[in-house]
Amino acid sequence: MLRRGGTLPATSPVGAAPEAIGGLAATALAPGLLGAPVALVERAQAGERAAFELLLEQRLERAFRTARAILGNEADARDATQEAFLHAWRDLPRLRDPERFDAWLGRILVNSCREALRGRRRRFVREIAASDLGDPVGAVAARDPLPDERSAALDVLERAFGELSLGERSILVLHHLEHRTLTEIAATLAIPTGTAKSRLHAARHALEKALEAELR
Amino acid sequence: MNAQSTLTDATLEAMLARRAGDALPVDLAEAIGAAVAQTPQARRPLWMLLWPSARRTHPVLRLAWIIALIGLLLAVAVSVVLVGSELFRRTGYLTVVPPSVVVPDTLVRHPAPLEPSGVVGATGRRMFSLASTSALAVGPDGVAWALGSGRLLRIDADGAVRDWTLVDDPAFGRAQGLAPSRFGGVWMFDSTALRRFDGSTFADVVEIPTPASGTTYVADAFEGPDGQLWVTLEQAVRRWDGSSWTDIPWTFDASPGEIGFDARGRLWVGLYEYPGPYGLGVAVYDETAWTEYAPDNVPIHGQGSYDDPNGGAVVSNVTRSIASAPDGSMWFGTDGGLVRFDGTTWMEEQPFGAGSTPVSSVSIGSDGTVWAVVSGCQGCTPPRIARLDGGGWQLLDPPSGIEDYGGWALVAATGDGVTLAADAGTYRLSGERWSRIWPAAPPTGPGWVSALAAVSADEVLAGSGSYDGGPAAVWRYRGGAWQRDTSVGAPDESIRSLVFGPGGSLWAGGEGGLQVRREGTWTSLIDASAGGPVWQVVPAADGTVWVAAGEEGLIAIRPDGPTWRREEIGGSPLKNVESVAVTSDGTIWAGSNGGWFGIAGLARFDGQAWHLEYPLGGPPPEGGSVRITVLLAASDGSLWVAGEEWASASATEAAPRFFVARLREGAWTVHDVGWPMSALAEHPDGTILGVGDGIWTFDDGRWTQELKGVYLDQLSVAPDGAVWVAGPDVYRVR
Repeated sequence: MLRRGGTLPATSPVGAAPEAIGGLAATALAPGLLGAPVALVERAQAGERAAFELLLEQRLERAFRTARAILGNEADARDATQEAFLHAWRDLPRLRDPERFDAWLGRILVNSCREALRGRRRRFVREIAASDLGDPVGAVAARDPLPDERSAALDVLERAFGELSLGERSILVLHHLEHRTLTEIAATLAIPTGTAKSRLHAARHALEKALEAELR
Repeated sequence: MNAQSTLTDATLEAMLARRAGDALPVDLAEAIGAAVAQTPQARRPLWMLLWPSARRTHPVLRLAWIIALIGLLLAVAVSVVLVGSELFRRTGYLTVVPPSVVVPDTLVRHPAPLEPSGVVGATGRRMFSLASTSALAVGPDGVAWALGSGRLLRIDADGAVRDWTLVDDPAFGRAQGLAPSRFGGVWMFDSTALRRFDGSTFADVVEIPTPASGTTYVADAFEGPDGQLWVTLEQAVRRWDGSSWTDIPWTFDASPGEIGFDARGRLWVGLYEYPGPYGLGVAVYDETAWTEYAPDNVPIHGQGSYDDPNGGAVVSNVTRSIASAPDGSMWFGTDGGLVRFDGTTWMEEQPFGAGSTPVSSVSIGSDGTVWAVVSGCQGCTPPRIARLDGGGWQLLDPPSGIEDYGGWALVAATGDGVTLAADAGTYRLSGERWSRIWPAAPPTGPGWVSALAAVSADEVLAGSGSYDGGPAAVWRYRGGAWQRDTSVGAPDESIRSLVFGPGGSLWAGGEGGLQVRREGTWTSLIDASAGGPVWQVVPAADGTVWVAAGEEGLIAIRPDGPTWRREEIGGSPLKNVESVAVTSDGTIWAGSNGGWFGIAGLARFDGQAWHLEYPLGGPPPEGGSVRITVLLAASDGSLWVAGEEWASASATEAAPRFFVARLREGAWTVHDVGWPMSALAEHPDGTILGVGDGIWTFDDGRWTQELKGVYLDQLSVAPDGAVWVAGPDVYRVR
């Protein structure tokens, strides 16, 4: 079931806080809807929103984590995830093979991340890494329970990762975060398996180079 | 730390897991669901019906399909060879004329860097509004530039998009039009200057001198074949030769509008008359004299249009687009149709069939392919696109989803295809396939921002209006995204006023009447079908909510236990009550902006009786009026009034006076502001802010203006001091 409502703002212009704006109302799924994914996809293709909502619910968290790992901040990841699912809903009738829904959605998500990355340079919100803040100890501790030394090492690695192209980031995220096989990655990125393998190798090499540069 | 030893799979996975985070935004699913609910699905392509899913198709049947398709392709190829070549020979449209003019880059350049405006951010209101584009230009390098929705877009040949907004430089917020440049980038113009933007800086800035009348309205600008710049203004054509402006002798009563150049380098302009606008033909200038083509010497009579008072000659309608073909002919898209002039004869083209077909844009590719688009008014029929090539006119299937939108559309030939900018978004046709360029998802409906209610620096609510009465909605911007209020009973007609009231209630007034949201539930308190539309809602300190209800007058909504009690305040001397304010002494003020001459537009109610008030010192002049557009009660007890004084009923006889007046301790102080003030608000620090032509701040006894030329119409200040405004987009300016 989709979540309802958001958190209340702390302030409002007149007295008490306004209630959160209601979004998508909780939608009751019809019995029997929890069938095979292909059937779900086909029902969503036919315009059944409840079926798409179930597909969304099952994949949203993973998609958001993927986008966030590629883009590195929540605002862009949120935009990219929303755009991807909206795009998927709109173009779902054009998906010829429902069995390939996940690969198709993954490709849309990567493309949405690309769009988000293009827009980021002009975005007014610049997210500041917690380690850049004046109180790094408290800030880092709040979000990262790792020992300081390892946390610092991961900070360096993340900065190096941020230097990579979106294509390089995407393939590393698909492989090392989502643990997709080369065949699945190839299907997601619409490239031959051999190309996926070589791109993964190249992305890993680029990351090592970027890491070396960070450490100089 | 050694890089090679550190970068193990485990380290990389730990970093990615940390980077991915573990918290899904609580309202993301809801936001996507709301957007999905507003988004229609695309139609299933025909070929998919003919070619079912591969998993269900028997291999033999699949092979049969493949053989049939190969046969079909072979048949098409043979047809093209046998028939197509003859067709191509019969028309001149595919003649490719190489560029005959080589432009030396010897013109004096006046570069200037971008200067960020200081505006904190643009929200991208396209998510719930139109993606409308006001100008489209394609340079020789194939890069397309589009202006609209508060931003300049650069669309590369590979479909990559970049954009610049008011945040990057005020010029992006005030630009009115575009013109392609042979020197790279694009010319972006407003009423003060032309700027050639190369993607990173203004490579050339040419200021347009202000005429003696004091105002400049640039109808169009164009870079001529020799690199000189041309602009059309009210009854003037002006040329910039790289160092100075020269006025071209102008002998017409009409004003020049759209600009184009023919293959001989001659300047063509559309003629129109203001007010109207009524098209009066076109004229061409050969460096010595003008030749006019008007209804009396262009015997083409189309079906006429709503804008044509002169009998329906196609060329007498407003010319919206001028294009030059490689074969030397000139093409004109007008409100009456599409006409072509080959140097001798005028011909009407009817790719869209007979009838009134306002051709908003025509563009011709280097291969001679002509593209034309029909589009009309906001909320009217969707745009239609036609292509003329060696095979004759062909009506194209529009991009999927565009049928849900009416409105304006532009085309520009781009390489081997065309770029289409419409209210549904910007698309590119390559081969026979449209692809969406921008925005990534279609806007959820036609409309604009018609009300703002700021919550904090991170959050603002907006009400939207729509051109045809619906659908409109209440929206919330938070966390970088807009989200629609889909609560039961939420407003769905154009909203004019959106404010927070007692107990965190949210009030919306507009075409649908008056609605209030409490504890997640919307309740209708005034039904527009019975009580008329609502113009403004103002909560008072005593819990009363005051409603300016147009012809219904002033209405008080008073709390009455768990419900509300409605009380109509009769006897108003104003025909329409469109604004209301309550000063700290309890006086109720009502303003009217509505089309009535000979009376003042401001009145006060002291609890017993109504009294007319004259902020300008006395009644309006005979036949004139004082229209009040905005009222604001300030925390220091003073009343602020924005309005217009009209000396007569006609704008052509005397320009109105735009003023802001302040009533304090019984005395009025009047400030002239030169442009209508659309909204006023008080900042927590006590300064008064206004929007209209930019942002105005009243502090220390005087008004100062920022972002002049950026036209804004909504303003709201949050309790934390964040200032939100709406114009081409929604911006947080402080």
